[in-house]
Amino acid sequence: MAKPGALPPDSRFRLTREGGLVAAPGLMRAREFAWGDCQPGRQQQRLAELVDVARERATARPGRGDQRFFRLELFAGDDLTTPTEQLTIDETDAPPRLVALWEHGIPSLDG
Amino acid sequence: MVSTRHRRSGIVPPHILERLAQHAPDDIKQCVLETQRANEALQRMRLTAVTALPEAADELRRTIYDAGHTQDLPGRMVRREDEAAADDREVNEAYDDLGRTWRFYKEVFDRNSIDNHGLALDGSVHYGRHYDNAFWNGREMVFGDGDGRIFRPFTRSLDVVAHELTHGVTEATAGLAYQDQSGALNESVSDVFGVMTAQYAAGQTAAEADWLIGAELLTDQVHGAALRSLARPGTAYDDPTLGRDPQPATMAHYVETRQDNGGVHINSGIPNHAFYRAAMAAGGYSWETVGPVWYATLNDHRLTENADFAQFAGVTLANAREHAGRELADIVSQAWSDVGVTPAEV
Ligand SMILES: [Zn+2]
Repeated sequence: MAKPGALPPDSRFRLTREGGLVAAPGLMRAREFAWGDCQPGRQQQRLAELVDVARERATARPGRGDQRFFRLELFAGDDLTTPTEQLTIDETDAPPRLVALWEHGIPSLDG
Repeated sequence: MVSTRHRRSGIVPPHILERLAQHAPDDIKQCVLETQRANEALQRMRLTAVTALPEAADELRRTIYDAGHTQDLPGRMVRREDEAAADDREVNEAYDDLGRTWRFYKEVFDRNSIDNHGLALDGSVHYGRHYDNAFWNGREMVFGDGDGRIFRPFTRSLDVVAHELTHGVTEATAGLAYQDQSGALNESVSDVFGVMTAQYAAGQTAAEADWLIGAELLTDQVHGAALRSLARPGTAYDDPTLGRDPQPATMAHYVETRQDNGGVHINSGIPNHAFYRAAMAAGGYSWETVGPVWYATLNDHRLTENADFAQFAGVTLANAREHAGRELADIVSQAWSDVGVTPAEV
């Protein structure tokens, strides 16, 4: 597990929403982006904060009884096969900013 | 035919404590006497608690809440047991279908609610905004209204309401861990008892039933028939928004994935299809043939929390042999073989 706030500049991310009664592949809507896609300043700062909150709220056993959950995967560089870290957060514990990032992408970090 | 799990009160059995109290050295005797007193006090508390709890009653007690399109639970209480219908379709659907599911478990398996001790049934409707899901959160059943474009309100399907309630039953019995094969079994049990509840309510034989989960949830815009099909896993939908139903019917197409806790809603297609095949081969009503075998399996201590398909199949086969006879055992055995699962010796 990485240190709080430590996000290497070559970090890449994948954010999905999973589980739920329906659990259809089309509803996961994976969102992929890189640290470098975020503007230095507010966007990068908020992303770093969001990762910290996600680390605090992550649970190893999400999704029980059809509850939906978010999965935030962190990758180093171009290797998108094996995440260096993955965080699963129950929907009921997910910070609104994480939900917004999944729904609207990087621009939501300005809101 | 159903074995139930027993909880012991205290770790040291009372007869051993008694013997220790008579023959042990004084300091141990003192400990033992204190333990005995504590146990007796605990026993009295339990008896009082049981007497005081209205849950002990063998009757249906429902409460429906309106979450008011928020994600705050349970929400505002809108309909209690024996109260007149509300002016709200989803409230009444949840109320009626929780009742149908309770009656299914009571009349078919003599199970008194989720915990078999008359647990009151709580349900919340109008959860979240355009919320495309229903779930069991460990305390109650929660239903979204759907987004209106793909999904209708999640109270529309009796098999979905029964699916969620059955998650509570599984937690109270086998406790199948929600990950990989045991998680897929957890999901399958909810689908199997969900369709059986619907078949029982409609008085349908296995041959007459559609074996679909959530058929009433999909709007006309969706290219699909339901969320899942036990008869033909992988064929429930193929839609631009939902994607394609990813369920396999046999082990040859088992899906290895990190997502969805190892594909618990995906690989459940395999045990689902085994149940379907067994019920069809047995003929008649599913809840009279293989249903009791699956229910006994859920309550069988030989089924562990981390069971894989082979262990679950082994326990179904053992229960079929022990309680249902050779013919049904052969049918169950053939059904597992058809989906590529070899039952483990249990
Ligand atoms: Zn489920």
